[in-house]
Amino acid sequence: MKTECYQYFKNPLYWVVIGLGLAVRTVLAYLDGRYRGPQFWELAADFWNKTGSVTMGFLILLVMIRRFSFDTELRTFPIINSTSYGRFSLFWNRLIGGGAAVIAAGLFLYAGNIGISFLLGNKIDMPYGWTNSFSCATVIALVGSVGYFLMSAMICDLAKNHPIAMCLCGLPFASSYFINAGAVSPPDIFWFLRYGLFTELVRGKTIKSFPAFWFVWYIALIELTLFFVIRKRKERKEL
Amino acid sequence: MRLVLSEARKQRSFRETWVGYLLTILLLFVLIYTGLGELKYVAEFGYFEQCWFTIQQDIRSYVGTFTAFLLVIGLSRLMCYETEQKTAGLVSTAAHGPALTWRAKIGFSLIYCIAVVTVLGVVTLGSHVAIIGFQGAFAPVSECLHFESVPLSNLAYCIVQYGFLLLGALYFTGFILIVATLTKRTSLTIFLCGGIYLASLCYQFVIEHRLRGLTSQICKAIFQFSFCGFMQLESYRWFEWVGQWENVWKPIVFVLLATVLEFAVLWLLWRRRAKT
Repeated sequence: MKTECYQYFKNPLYWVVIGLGLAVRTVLAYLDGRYRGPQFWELAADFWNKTGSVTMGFLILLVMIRRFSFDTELRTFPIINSTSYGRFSLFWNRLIGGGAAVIAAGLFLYAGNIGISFLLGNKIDMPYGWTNSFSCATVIALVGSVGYFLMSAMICDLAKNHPIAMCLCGLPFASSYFINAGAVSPPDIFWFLRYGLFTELVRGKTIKSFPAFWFVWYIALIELTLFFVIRKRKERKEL
Repeated sequence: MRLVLSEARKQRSFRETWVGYLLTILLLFVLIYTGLGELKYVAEFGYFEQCWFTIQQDIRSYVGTFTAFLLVIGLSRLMCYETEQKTAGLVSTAAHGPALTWRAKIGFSLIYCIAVVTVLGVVTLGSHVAIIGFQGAFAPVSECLHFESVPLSNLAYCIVQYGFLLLGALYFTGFILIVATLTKRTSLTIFLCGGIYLASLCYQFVIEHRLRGLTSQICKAIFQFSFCGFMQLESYRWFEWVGQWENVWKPIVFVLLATVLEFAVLWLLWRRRAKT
């Protein structure tokens, strides 16, 4: 597991995406400090809503889940599959290692946003309890990110094709940013698109509309994907 | 032509393209279906001008984004295929192999681009016309988002808009092919091109109003010259709040020149890659 975790950190794209996310945050924080001073800390706490969640989405879809189709792309999968620990234990270790790498990325972004905000907003008074509210949003975002990573990784493992996984997981994730929460109601398909794929949690928000239903839905989604992965792996004799 | 057909056969074997088609059909159906109710309601009261104004917004609302999505999904693997399958060396050994392959790929990409815009245009425009009929279709445009006045009928202007979208799509196609040639990796190409397009959309809908001063001007200029600006039809205003129809030739000339330049750069990159 340690090796798998190390492989994620060794990927230069992992650091490039985190660096780009923080660079965008720096530019936005500078502009917020200059033109929207009174709302500076409010916008800083809103980091996960836009910049943070987009960075996380990019990181998971571009860098993290690729490891699940990497062996097939390089055509080394039959060799790895023939080894004693190259089947389910490798898959399991990749999932755990990836989850740890997602949490680490989230903490880097959390620390980065706090650092940037303190650096650029030192002349503006910080509201009481800002760190607590931002930390709460970060915990929610981390839970959502890990869930989203697990689901995307398992879909990538099922399809053994990175672009397909990017399409299937990326399109609903991206489209939920363009759906206005105020304009959707429960049985609507847009309501489902908006909340159905961890996006709301990755954005550091709790789901106000039917939270119990979504809790069950997210657990069922991960378990169902895992069930299909196990079934497919049995079919392919990879278990 | 035979080589173009073999490129088409090759593209047919890309699984992600089929997933992309299915997702597009699903989302397009949902979006058209939800929009039809409102359109029908407005048409019942006889406000056909309002209906055509809504139809004009189709490209800006979703058709532009779907076009970009299908282009990114459909064309990214095309330029990386030989490298990924390790047959690039084999192509280079054939007489005029790289040149013929390049021509076939470009030919297929152009046909694919035209097909995507045509199919999306026919489906969206057709479904709307099927609901409200041709009432008000041949009346002159009374209200327009991008231009002060347009000397065309409502239907003609909608069709011209799809022509504008096609120009933007060709510009984007050139960019995708260049990125694919440089990266030689499908998923990275999809992510870079898709990410840049999404970032441009975020700029258009979220960030633009937050910027001020010189930063705003620089970002606006970049967006105006970008493929996203042309695919969202924003660039045809040509730096004006409300564009003049007489000046529409300027962005058209720019986008055509930029596309030709992109394909020239692509040829140079491809030739260089074939030599190494």
